[in-house]
Amino acid sequence: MPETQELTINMGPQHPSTHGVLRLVLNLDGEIITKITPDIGYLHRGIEKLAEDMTYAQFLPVTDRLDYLAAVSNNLAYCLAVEKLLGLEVPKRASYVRVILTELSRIASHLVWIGTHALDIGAYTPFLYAFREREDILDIYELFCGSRLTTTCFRIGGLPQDIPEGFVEKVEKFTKIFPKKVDEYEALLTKNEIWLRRTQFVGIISAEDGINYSLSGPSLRGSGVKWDIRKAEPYCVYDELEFDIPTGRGIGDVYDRYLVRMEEMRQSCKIVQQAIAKIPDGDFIATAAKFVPPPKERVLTDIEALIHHFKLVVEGFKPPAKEVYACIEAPKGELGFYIVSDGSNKPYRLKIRTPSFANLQSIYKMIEGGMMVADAVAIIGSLDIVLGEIDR
Amino acid sequence: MKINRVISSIIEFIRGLSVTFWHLFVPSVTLQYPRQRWTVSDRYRGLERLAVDEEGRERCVGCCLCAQMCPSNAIKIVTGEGKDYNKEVISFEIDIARCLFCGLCVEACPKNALSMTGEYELACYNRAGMIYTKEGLYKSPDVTRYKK
Repeated sequence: MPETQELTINMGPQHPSTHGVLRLVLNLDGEIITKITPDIGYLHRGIEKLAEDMTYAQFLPVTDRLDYLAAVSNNLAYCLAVEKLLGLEVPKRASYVRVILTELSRIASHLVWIGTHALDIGAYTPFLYAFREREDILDIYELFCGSRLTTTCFRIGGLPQDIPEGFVEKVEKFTKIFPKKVDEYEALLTKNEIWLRRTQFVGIISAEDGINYSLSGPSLRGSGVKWDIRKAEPYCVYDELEFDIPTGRGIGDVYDRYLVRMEEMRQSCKIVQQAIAKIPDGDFIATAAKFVPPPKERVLTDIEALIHHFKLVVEGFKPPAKEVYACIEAPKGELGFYIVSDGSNKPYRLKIRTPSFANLQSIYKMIEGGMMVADAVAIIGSLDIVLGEIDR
Repeated sequence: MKINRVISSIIEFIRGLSVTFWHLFVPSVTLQYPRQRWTVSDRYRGLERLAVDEEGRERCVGCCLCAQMCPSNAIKIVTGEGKDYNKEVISFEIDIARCLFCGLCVEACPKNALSMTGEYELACYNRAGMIYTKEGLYKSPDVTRYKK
């Protein structure tokens, strides 16, 4: 018998199926992975440190650069954290629009996921179809805030502007056609023999392990844990909307995580439909002269408003000295902002709990049990990681 | 058992193909970009521009709020003394290589002098071309470098 030895190879950082610049060091026994070591940090921009030298309002555009596929969710989590710090009440109208836009961002993020995940495994068509629908969502963003990817969609206290003309119609049109499109993706993949063989019983993680490895979001729900922050600790107006939490078959493999995300897209669509019908009238941003700049018309005509405006832009507001943590159910899992304020106009420390970073560590567990190199690609795809969020 | 799986896989194969087949008759959604253009929304955040008032005077008073607000320090303003003890804006530069196009500067402007246009084709061959001075920003945007 010839003597064999383990082979150590690099996968990435410039590997298309590592979804960015993730480097994996694989120890291989033949084609079977014996050990996997993720190496992160290739996209480190020091975002948490940057926050310490910016006022609270200035930091908002930087949060777009965390999970760049769902920038709106990042904006929401940050705004909620600062609002919690200030004790600011957000108008109902703003909350409803926030829910609509974040749910659309969930759909957009999942569409990129289904496109790239299927592409990694070898199905090219869903990628084209998914990006076609994503384009409609980006058009809605462009209509609302003027930008497609790095949206800077919300402001502390509400929205930057009221919803524009044609916004409601455009969202309604999208929600009407979208469920049929999900059926289309499912027709291509869900029962396809190749898809089943590549995803079923690959990268299994049990519910208990998932919790211990601090998995969150669809990746945890794929293991059968009914945990969703939108239900557990409702923020915005999620307690007024009806939706289900899909959990898949309860095995916790790649296929389960796929099923969960597909169903989540339908549920998100349902949430958007309900929310768009319920948008109440009223203000789109809170009235709080000490924290929120007054409306532009007032600034141009009223000296008091102008003084407040100058004060807020030049030095920002000074929140009370305390610590807050606010989290939301982002497309990838629990996204939280932990802000330590020392009473000055800049955060003393800002820690971002990003879902991709926490989810990636469960790859140690998923790779157990004789997974092959090709399975590693499927597992990374099913975790739906974004490196902008991991390295920050 | 095995034969069932073979049959079902053939059915699913045909079902998948039928989806792609019907897409042959769906109109194409791709835009032939440089030849075809899409109209950007009214709120599009493209290249910044400075405005003049009804009498043709510069609206910008050099308060530097936009420069203060900018998260990436893309705006540089130099002010000095002008006629009749008035403050004068000597230079106003936006480095769009640093610009995030977040629109915070527009919100910060207390004179409605700064706004954002629908201009998005801002690529150029050197870094110097990325810096827009006062003269360029007061003119209506004419920066499209693509020639047919």
